[in-house]
Amino acid sequence: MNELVRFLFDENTGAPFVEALRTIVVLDKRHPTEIGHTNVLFGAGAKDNVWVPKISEGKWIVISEDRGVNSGRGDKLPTLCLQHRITHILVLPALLKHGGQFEKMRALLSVWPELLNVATKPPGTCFRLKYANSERNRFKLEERPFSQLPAPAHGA
Amino acid sequence: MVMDPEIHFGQPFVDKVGITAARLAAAVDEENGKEAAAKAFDVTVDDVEAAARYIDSLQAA
Repeated sequence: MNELVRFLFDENTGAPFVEALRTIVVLDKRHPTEIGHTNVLFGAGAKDNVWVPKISEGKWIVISEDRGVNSGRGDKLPTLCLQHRITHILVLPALLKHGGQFEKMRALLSVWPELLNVATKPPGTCFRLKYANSERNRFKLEERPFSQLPAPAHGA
Repeated sequence: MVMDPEIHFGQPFVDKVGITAARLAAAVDEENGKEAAAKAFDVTVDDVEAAARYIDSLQAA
């Protein structure tokens, strides 16, 4: 039996999506997986400096969305995750703009074996989930080198 | 709408729902409508409309 892999979605993903993914991945008996949501684990509106360190203890892999340059989240979340050594995956905006939550589900399931393998990477590693080609019919999980991440403010 | 520098990295979010205004507003286009966006995030259409209005007001300013 493989080790349990835990994926945690934040408020950028709706509860129905998380429930649907949970229903699908439970069918994979070879790879035990736990799918969580920050709003359920910590309540809606939990402070970032409370929930982020807690998920570090729980060895969760965070799946979020890079909302682009205007939100600031695209930099802040990787910085905090790197600081607390939390492996995280950012779903790129192009994918969501093209097909919304369904496209995100399609992408996650397409790279599922690679997603499970993310758990073996050094804690704090950042990945991007994106289209692999211009036809938008394939996806890839791309590792973002530590050198490309914003420098942690302090304490890393 | 609520803003707190320690929650959601300082982004404005819908009170009690805990989802950022930017996320819900973007979902209207991504899911092809307010009703579908509300269903995808398990919130009310009023929540989605409030988020969309807020983002529109920021862009108009």
